[in-house]
Amino acid sequence: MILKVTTLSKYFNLSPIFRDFSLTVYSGEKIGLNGPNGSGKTTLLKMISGITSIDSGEIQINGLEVNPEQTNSRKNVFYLGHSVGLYPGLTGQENLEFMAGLYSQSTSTIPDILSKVGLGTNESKLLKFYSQGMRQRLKLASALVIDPNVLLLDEPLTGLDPDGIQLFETILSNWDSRGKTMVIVSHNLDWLSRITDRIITLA
Amino acid sequence: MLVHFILKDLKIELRSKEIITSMFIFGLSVTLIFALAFQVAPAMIREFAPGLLWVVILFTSVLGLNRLFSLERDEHALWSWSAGPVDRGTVFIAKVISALIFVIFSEILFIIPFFVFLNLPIEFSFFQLGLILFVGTGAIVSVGCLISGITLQASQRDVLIPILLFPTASPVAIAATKCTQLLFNQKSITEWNYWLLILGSFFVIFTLFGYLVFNKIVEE
Repeated sequence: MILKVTTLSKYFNLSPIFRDFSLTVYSGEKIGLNGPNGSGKTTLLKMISGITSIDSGEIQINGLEVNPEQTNSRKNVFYLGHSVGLYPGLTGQENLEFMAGLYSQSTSTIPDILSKVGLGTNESKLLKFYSQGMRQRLKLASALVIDPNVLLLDEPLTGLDPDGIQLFETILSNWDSRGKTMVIVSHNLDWLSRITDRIITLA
Repeated sequence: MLVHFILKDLKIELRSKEIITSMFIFGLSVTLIFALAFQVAPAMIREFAPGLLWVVILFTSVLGLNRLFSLERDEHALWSWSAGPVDRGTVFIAKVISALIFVIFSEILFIIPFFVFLNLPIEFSFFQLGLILFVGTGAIVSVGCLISGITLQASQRDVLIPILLFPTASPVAIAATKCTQLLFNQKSITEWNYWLLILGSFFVIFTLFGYLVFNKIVEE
């Protein structure tokens, strides 16, 4: 087992989003998360990644508790969220170098990765001038640079054109063959059931 | 990691020049307003000048701090490190150092017009003025960074930063004004060093406090 959520509770303005929620994800497993708007899909991913605090319960990754003091627990996790989560004032290449520095990864692979995601010619363009699809590709590129064991993907197809979707599915199958653990949020149930091992529906 | 974050802020600022330009223009404008509004005897202006100088520094710092922390809010850039294996306290220290660099740089730009427009006599040690500016600015930015961090996720942060910062930083402004006033009156450092110690204490205490609590305050 790589990811374990135990009796997790989270409240927003005193109304519970999660109450005693538990989840176990095994190494190499692909989990789909589905549910209506406001059911807490994004919040769950953000709590697992450490961006959002939890009110009670425990989240463990590789046996390490996810909390602000435990930086090692976040070493092998990557959250790909709704927003790009990178700096608009830096170029695509500089953003990836910044991310590589955070995770102590080599920067030598960045030009190849940028080419692989179709941003090879836009590496020196500022992120603020990227289109939505290009931003999504850059997020994928940062996941490739970091190469984490656990990937938390929140609506990963948003903004991608058909070529981008094909690229994402190629990357996804590559991650799958390398035994990466993935938790994927999507409203597209057909797509989710095709690419994941099991689906959890949040009410 | 500390240098990594400082270099990132410097790189963004070097390219956009948003923070320093806005602080310099604002500082210069306020100086001009003061120069035109206070057309009084030179002896009186010398008494007012230290207070006016720190009012300008406090106001320009708010402008710079607001923009510096907005870099983390734009496109949720803070997710890059808050979800990463990063000691968030280090991010706070990096912000204090970046803010200190930006505010001191803008001070260097508007301090000469300040003395020229207010027609102030320069009869004191530049080194001692530099020391007061460094420690005083450090105290203001350490308090300011903590408040900017607390309000980072707030929707009304543009309003909240000055509302929270001005009362909290008022002891700093008073101590810095006293130091500068005694320096302008050519008093020996032994007569104003305790005010400098107060500034230094604020700088150290708020920087350490911010380092310890930043972990919690940046969480959503």
